Amino acid sequence: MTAFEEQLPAVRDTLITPEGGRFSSYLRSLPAFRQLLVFLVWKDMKVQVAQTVLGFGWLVLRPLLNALVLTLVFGRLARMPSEGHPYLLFFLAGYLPWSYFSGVVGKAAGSLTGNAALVTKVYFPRLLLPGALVLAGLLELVVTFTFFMLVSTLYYGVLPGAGLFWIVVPLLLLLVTTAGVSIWLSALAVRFRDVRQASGYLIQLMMFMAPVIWPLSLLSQRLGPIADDWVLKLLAGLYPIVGVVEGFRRALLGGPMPWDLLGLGFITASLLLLSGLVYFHRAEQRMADSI
Amino acid sequence: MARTMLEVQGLSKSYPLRTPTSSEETLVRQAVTSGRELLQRLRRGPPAAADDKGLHWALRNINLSVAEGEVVSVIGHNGSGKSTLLKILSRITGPTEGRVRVTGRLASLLEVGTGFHPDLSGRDNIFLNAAILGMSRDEIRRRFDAIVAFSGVEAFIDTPVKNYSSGMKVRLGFAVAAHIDPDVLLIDEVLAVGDASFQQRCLKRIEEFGSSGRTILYVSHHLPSVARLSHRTVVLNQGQVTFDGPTLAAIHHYEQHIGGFRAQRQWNPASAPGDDSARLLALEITSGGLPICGPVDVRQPVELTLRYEVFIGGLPIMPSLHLHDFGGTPVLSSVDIHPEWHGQARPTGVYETKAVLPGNWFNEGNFQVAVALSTLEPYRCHVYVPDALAFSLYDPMIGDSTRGQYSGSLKGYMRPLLDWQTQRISG
Repeated sequence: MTAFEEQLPAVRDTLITPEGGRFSSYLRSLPAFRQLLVFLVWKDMKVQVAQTVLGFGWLVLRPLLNALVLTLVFGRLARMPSEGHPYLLFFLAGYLPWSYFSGVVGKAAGSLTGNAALVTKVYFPRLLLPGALVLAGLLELVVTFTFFMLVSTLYYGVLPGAGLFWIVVPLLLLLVTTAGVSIWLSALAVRFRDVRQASGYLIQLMMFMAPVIWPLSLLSQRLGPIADDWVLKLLAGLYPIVGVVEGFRRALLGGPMPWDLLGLGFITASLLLLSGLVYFHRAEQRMADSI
Repeated sequence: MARTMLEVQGLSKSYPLRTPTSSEETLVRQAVTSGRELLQRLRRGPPAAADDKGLHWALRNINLSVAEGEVVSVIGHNGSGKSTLLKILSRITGPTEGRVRVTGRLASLLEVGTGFHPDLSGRDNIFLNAAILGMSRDEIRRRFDAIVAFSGVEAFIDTPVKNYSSGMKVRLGFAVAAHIDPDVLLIDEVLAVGDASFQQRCLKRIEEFGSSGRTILYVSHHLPSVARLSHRTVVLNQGQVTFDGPTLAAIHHYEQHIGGFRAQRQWNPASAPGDDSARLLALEITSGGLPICGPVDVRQPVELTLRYEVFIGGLPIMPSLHLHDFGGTPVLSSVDIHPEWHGQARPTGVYETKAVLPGNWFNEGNFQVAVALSTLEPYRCHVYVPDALAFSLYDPMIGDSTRGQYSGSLKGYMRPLLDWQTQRISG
């Protein structure tokens, strides 16, 4: 017996059934594939950096260009209110989580069809494909965050306060939301061919629905007393991106955390993620047939 | 009693049939249909259960049990369900009905390239595949050199796999699968690609796997390799197991019932092929005078017997035989030039002509036999039956065929015993 064989885990049985086994045992099988997840994350990061002519520079340039154009249009021309902060900082603080969300979700819809060579030839939990995108996107988030800090400290001389610590709460909400939406979209896109085209449009709509380029306080200014209505607050909170964007803004620019929005957001996001996992697991059995 | 490594119970798989009117599913259309169904249900109660129409059953009620250390082959036509079976066993797609239990680590090698990512280099793909198969980075690092050496793609290991030839992909894929030491190995048609020397290395490696007590399910069209590798073979036809038993009997079953291999044919006088001068009555292939049953040992002779009736006296009837491989490439043609009958006018009557193809003469493979009866000057072909019969030859590798102790690849259709002579000149 070689040293290799001694290391092998005890022989396990694999059961293949039409339902794809129990959902709980599916989740339990995931840790065995962590090596593959690491590999896929590394691959996705490499693709982000290596596939363009500019390489790593593109990662920095994209948020920079977006920030400049949108600041010019909405800050200078449209004179969008920015809650007393310089519009560039105001925009960047909200754009930080949004660019992560839109980047990952945009790729997630094609994550299974784009890896057809793997999906139709070998088995591994297909959940790893959208999962790897969620993790690999953090690279861009770090780059954009660094960019924000540079602009904030060097150009505006604004240092974030102790409230920065609380950024972990909207960050967690961001991850849960992104994972939930990505898992749903990736599974739907395999079965329904129109989902991929629709997702690009959907992402754009979602950006205007969230207070990325406009401040949430605008709602109460324009809508008056209706905005204080708990129904409106509930609706805003149930769209988790609202809590994420507001949370990031307060953590980076100062101000109390919007706990009500975050709490409501966590309810929707968790439901989205959980239902996404269940749907994905059920759909996984047929994925190789439709790709 | 050996452990059961693979247990298949009542396995079925159906695919929706794509009719010209149905197109790809879209979310919008699905929503519309669901809404319509809901309305209908509200109005008229539950709809009738969906029927089998519009479904194609790739597999129907498959039962199979493979014990530890067994090497089992699966043979069948294209579309018989072989590949679907392997896809379900390797969990790429789910079954429609039934269940499968696999004991231990299972690795599969399906078609070209076991799931390579085209944009990644050969090196990265080795790590990717190993990670998919559940190996740790350290394990793979230890085996990396052996894998690369086995695959023979050292020079291209840092080139993206999309630039590989299909042969290189198969080689790399097999090299990874061959080095992960799975408990159960599934192999599908690897021998269809890759050069002959690599095929031999693969076969050897599979043989080593088999003899080291691993369980192998081998799917192939290449009957000689099936005969060499496995003692047990399953024949699939139209998604069902039609035979499960000893390999030679299975190949015989396949050849007779599915593969269109016929070792004998008879015609009744009314429908016999031919014209008003001569008609073919019967054909038979034997080996050493005995009816053949499955692949014939390459060392044994094969005899072809034609029985035919001549209706018009005075014609110099000339029987001939023509061998092709299953791709239609001619192997040889031969005419009867025995002086007793060649060019001689024959009286009417029933004749029997036998041609002997000697043993140790052909290479391994499958051969189709065509026969003809014709006359010369003026040339006339009375009977020509294209794919009349077929037979296959295999080498049991005992060491006394014309390959001697050489176990590598021997190309071509012929493998005759030549007169080799060596003299020591000096020293």
